[in-house]
Amino acid sequence: MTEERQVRIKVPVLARVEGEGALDLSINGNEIESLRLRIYEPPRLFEKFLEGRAWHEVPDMVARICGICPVAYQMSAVHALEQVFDIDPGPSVRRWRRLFYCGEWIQSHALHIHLLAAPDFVGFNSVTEMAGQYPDEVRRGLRLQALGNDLIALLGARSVHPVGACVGGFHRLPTASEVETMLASLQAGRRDARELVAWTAGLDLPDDDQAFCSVSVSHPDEYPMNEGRLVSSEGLDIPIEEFDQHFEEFQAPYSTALHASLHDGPYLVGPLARINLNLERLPAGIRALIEDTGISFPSRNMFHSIVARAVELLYAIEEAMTVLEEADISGPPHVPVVPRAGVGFGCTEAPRGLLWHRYETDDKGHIVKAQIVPPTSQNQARIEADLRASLQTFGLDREESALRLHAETVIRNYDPCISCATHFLRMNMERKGK
Amino acid sequence: MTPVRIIGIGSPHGADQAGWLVADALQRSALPARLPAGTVSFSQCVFPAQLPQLVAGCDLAILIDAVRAEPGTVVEVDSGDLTRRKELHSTHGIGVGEALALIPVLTDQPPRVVLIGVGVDAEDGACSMEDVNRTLPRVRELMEAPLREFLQTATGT
Repeated sequence: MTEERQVRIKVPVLARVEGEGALDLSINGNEIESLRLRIYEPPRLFEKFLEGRAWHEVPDMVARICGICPVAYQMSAVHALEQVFDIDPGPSVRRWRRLFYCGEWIQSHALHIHLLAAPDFVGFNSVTEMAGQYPDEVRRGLRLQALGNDLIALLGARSVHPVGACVGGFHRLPTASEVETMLASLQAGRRDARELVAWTAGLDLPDDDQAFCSVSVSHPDEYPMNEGRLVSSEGLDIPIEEFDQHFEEFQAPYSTALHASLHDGPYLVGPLARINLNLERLPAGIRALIEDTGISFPSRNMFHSIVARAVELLYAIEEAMTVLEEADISGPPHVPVVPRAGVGFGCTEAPRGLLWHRYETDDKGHIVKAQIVPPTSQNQARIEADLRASLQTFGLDREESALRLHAETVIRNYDPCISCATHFLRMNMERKGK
Repeated sequence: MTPVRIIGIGSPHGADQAGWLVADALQRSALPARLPAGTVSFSQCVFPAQLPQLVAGCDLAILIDAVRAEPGTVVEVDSGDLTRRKELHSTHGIGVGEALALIPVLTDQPPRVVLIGVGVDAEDGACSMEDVNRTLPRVRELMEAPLREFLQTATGT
């Protein structure tokens, strides 16, 4: 007699944010019966790829997760590994890292505002159509994006999947002439960015008041980028090491990207959440500029995200100028690293929201286990909640094409990192009743 | 700013680097010396959105990008076909087709654009120098007429 063998296979499916998405929407009368934002990109399994790799390979590997926010992946990773190895890279490296991050915010925000989101708000299907009527604005977007890329390359050696960052600091620091050239470019970019803030605030943005929970990193002395505690608009205030005790990642059966919840509810990460929670950390000059726009933060209108992005872009340019004006290029680019076994955490603010990493290493510094929680998966549940509310406010009795466009606009507004986020939406709509 | 620009499109990785490698090989070849000094420059394009800026002010832009085709082969791409495509597959910006459509809108005097595709095995994902070198004679052939016409116009001969 043979005993029945039971096998249970559990495959954790983790880092997978770039991909294809669809929206399934069922409307019954004037009610949304079901709504599902599906991401069906095959899992990318980066966390498993990292297992067994050496600590020094991690920054270059995680940079490949995303073509638009590689700096964020590198920064969360190096902070986590430095915590494992009990390394303090010092104030100079910390400032260079802030500069590196500014480059990513500038290029990512410029790209999203001008090429992805703006056509929605000025009545065009694409940036190529929009450029006919708004050539100066599109040129501005391309200039700002190039500026951000140049800033990333200054420390990363190249703007795509940069290779300049390492655990302990950077492989090299810029030269004096590189710093001088970059400062001149930033000065010109600052003018563009100031105009951009006013331009985004002047767009005909839908008025869509919603209640939502904002979550971001928060630092007592600076607008959050590379370090701080995790805070929410509902009173959460925890060290990043306690993320797992409050946030839960779970698998929705229709999505290959994990959803995330905070105390069982959806939450928002990204520029609007950051500005809602950290307005007072912005310089007085930028706060005055915001006041001039007539838009108040904290804001409950998700469509103010484009304005928040523009404000952050301006902030990143000014912050980069400050860092470069005070830069010490004589210091060692990195501190020595002695690997050891342990667990470490890193949480930084990617352009589209907080990016949390956890690494466990053995005594040689090889990765035993990695966990990466990217911003788009954190925003998934919030996007669905927003779609429900926003479509209801918009009017469910509208033509299918109008509903589709509005739904696409809502989703794009989050700057999701899904590989066809520009017009990615395949909407399957079922209408029942009247 | 040179009147002729040869631009490799791609990234430093795998098959996607084919355009960069071909442009780099052309830069190291006898080609630049054959042209009057200051006529031609070479660059790499990572994000297609950079293209309008990279070609602004030039007369002839020769773009080289990887395409899905037999490795070592060369395809002259009809840029009109690309710009007419409506479907977008890029998360993070715009593709080559859209960038080409933006050039006449965003540049005061749009240059002549020649788009050359070099075949890569997208499934394999690799790019060998042997395949790159095999493309060079045909790439040079495709560049010959546009360069000759540019020189005739520029020198009035």
